[in-house]
Amino acid sequence: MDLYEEIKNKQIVLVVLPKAQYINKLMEVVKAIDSVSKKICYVALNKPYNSIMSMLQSHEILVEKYFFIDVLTSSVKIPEPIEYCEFVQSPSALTDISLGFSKAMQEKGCDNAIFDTISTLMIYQDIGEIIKFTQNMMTKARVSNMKSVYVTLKEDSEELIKDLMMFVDGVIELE
Amino acid sequence: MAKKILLVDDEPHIIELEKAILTLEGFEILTAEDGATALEILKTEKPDLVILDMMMPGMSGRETCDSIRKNPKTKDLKVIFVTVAKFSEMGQKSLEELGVSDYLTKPFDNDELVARVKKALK
Repeated sequence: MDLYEEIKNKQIVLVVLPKAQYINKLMEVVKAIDSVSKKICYVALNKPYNSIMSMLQSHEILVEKYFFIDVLTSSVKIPEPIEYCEFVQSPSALTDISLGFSKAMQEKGCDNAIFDTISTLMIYQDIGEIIKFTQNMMTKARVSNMKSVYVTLKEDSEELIKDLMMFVDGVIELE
Repeated sequence: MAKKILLVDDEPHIIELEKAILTLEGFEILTAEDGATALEILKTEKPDLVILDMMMPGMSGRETCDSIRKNPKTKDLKVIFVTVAKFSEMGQKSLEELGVSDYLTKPFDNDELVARVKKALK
């Protein structure tokens, strides 16, 4: 299964990564999304947006193509508002993440999104709530003809992966 | 004798709505607010059909259905899923593997619910 082809041809894709390979493989996924997208909404669920910007820049990826949803910075300090990032109070504020996602689609013109990593939400939410949230995001994306990629860690939850698989168009498991 | 249906949903208003519609059609109704309670009910009751919400706290609908299929006493029980988002092509295959008779997408109307139920019970 070719990562680039799957991300190019399928609207909603689930990417399953092993914990040990997370950082290396994540960049492969980001590069694949980057290669087929004009503007990308990066939903950062496990690190602040500036860490991701540094990561992208170190791989010579143009950060101007990205709009970030950051769920961590606000819990540490009051961030200065910036145009290319929506700060959400906490990772458990799913409604605010959803609003940020709508903003990315409607105001920022994003045609693709990455949720990095959706399984992180398990620290804060019940699987049922995470599935409801992702279904909401997937429905919004389908209605707007937007693509999206949900990254999850293989070891985090087999049940979450099985549930998400029922609503996505493709699953890529990277070893 | 009236056919018996077990409704499983964590949203009380959905349960009430389904119950009202199906009672009017002459079905006997059992209810459960989550998957674990549904499995407990199935130890003592033998409904003809289970209408199962896909997304519930604790066990999801898929997980609950999986447990129903693994139990020799309930493995052939007819199941209809209720979901908010449409299942993808991959999801439809998973439904077949789970032996799910049909599924309803919220919001659904009364006629659709009754029609799906009657079709599943034929």
